[in-house]
Amino acid sequence: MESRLSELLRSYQSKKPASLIAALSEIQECNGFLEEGSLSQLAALYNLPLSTVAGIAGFYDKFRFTAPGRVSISLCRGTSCHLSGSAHLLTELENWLKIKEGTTSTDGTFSLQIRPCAGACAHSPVVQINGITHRVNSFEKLTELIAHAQRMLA
Amino acid sequence: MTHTALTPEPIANAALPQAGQVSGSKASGLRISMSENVLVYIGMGSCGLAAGAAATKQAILEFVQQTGWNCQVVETGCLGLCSEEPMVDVALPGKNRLSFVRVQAEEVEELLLEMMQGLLPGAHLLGQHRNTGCIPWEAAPYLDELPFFSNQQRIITARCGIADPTSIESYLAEGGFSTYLECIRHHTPDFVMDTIRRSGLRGRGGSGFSTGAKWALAREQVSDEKYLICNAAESDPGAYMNRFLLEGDPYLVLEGIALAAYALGLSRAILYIMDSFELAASRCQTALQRMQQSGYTGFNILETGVDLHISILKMPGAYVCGEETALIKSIEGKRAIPEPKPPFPSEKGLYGRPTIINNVETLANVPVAMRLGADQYRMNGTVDDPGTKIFCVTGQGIRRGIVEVAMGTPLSKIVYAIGGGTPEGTQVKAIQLGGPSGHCLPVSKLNLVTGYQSMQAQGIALGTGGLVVLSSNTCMVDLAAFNAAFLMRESCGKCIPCREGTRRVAEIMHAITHRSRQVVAHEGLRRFRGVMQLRELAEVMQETSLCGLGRNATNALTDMIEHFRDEFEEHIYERRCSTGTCRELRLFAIDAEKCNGCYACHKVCPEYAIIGQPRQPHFVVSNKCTGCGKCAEACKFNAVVQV
Repeated sequence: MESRLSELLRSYQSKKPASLIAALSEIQECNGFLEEGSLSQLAALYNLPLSTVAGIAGFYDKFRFTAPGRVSISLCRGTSCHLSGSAHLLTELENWLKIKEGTTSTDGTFSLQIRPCAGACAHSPVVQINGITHRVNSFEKLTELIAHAQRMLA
Repeated sequence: MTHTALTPEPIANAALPQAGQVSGSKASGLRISMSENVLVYIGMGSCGLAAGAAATKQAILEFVQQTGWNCQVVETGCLGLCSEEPMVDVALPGKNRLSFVRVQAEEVEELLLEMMQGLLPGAHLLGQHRNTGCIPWEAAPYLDELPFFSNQQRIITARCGIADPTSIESYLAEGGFSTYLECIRHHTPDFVMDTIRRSGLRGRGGSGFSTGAKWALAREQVSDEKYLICNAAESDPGAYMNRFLLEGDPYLVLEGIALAAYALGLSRAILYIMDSFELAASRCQTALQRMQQSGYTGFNILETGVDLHISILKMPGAYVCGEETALIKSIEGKRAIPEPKPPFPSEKGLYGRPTIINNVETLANVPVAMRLGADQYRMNGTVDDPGTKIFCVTGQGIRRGIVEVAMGTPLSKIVYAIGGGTPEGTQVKAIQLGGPSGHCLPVSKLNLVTGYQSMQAQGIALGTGGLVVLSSNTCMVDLAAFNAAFLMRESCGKCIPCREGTRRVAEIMHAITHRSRQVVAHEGLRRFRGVMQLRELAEVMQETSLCGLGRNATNALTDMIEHFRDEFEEHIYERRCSTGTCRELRLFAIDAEKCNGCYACHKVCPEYAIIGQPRQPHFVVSNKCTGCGKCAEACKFNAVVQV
């Protein structure tokens, strides 16, 4: 992992400041999240204060600073999904998984986040579990899908 | 791939690879619809995938393998009838193509077995297409006679869901790129510019600004480099017109970019896309590669001396990127924060150079306008607003999806005739047009006709085309609270009216729709004061915010307060939500006659709001109750009732 990251950073050596966001994206793709170590490496590479780099990363919702869970759950909170009760699904899910939105469970199994509109409003509410979009008509369906994803890990 | 595209600064063009030579014959595979093979199409847009299209496709492939049926499986985008996905089309040789809806994986076998025998399956049938030279099915209705399609005018979306989106051959066969080639071979950039100006095309991204005028502004500028950006960072929650186009017909948008670049005299263009739109980005990527291979981009395109390099830029994106200056900042690798205008991006944009930013739908209109010619293009729509507009109909209507209508179509036609109204037992209550910072129109205003100019006259912005149908089951106050929370999250934080204003509005709306957790002195009074301040707050935000996000943040809210005042009053004074959407406002009580004191409700109550002695009727402490309803679910004797 470490070598992949430094290799990646090396490939950005000659780039213009504009590539900072792309560099952040690639680090996140490689590591799953942005750790402080890689942010400071990036800051040094671009000759920018760490606060600037962290500020840019923090601005965009996409970047995360904690490791995603093995079952990564993204609930869509677009208007259509909201009208079909995604707010209640989120509350119930938070209670069921015992984690808050935007966090990962301590054992690293689940992470829960909200995502921008998934473009599947006609089937709202929708949830993305490990990158696959599903339609969830009820909380039971949602728990079933999560349990299934968990079984797939084993 | 992406990071090389990230530095569109005026540096060596030579670094880009030379485009491939034009292949001798492009005629191969042109007649895909006239094929001898059976063709099975499956709608694989984002909406189809959410409905289970991937499993359906797998089932089709397995069926084909098992039976050895000589057929070709083609992936398409979405046809627009998203609520009826997954859609499967079957075209038997010499027969009209048939469309089937809601085909889940387990239903594939039955359907295809019947089709194999040349029978017309009754189940799941939507209708048949009109294919020239093909025999029609007797008992199948024509798609264009169904109310969803007959009321539309599908010009821009004509190929979406019909053709293979990544096949350049099928695009070429239908006349694709012929206009572009004709323009770069025989016409001057001025001709393109003039045609677009005369066509009266207006920016479809929400502003409704004349595209021709915008281009002319950028062309006047003297600069060593200019940029053309196609904005595909659509982040209005509950609208996906741009994704639909890019997933269903990426070549049309790319041809639009090519034509715009030619008209503006540019050799570089950027397609700015959100990286969460994986499917749309990958289809564009493939389409662009095929274009390069066929020689439609690169240096000296088809020996005309015209250069064109399109790069796809996948960015994290944010709602505020709808503002051009913020989008430019994000390309420069900074936080997406808007800048004051003027100077406008067309004078001073990306890296301080003239920059033209056009929406995906605007650019998709360009090849169509060029193909038809300005006069023919103006035949659709109204005098002030020529052409068509794509709407994304979502919410609580019956038929939901992507709809393309001529400008000047009444909104009621979209909601009722095309969308089919709302399910039985409910009525259409209102629509939300243009997302959280758009407008909310009650049923009485649905006779308004679509159009940037005509609606502007009524003080309404048509916006991007998101149209959320709200039924009588919707709580408008809850929706207003949702919008407020969304805008608070998306405010970039640069200017104070927007940063603080969106937060205050969200707080006030939260206080109206929720019960306070702690006992706060004069809580009721604070709520009233907040509500009274809403209107003033809205005015300040509208007048003093830097960009459109803050200026329009309270539009929908003001509309809702105006048209649905009684609902707001019910929430504020009575602390009640008649639709039951605001769960925290629900109150529960225990029917003493039915309750036998089993303790079931007491055990599940997370707030310890239910007390009582064993085998004695319990009761709810209403101050503690948060309205979660767990007690009602737990009670086996129906003793817990909502009051």
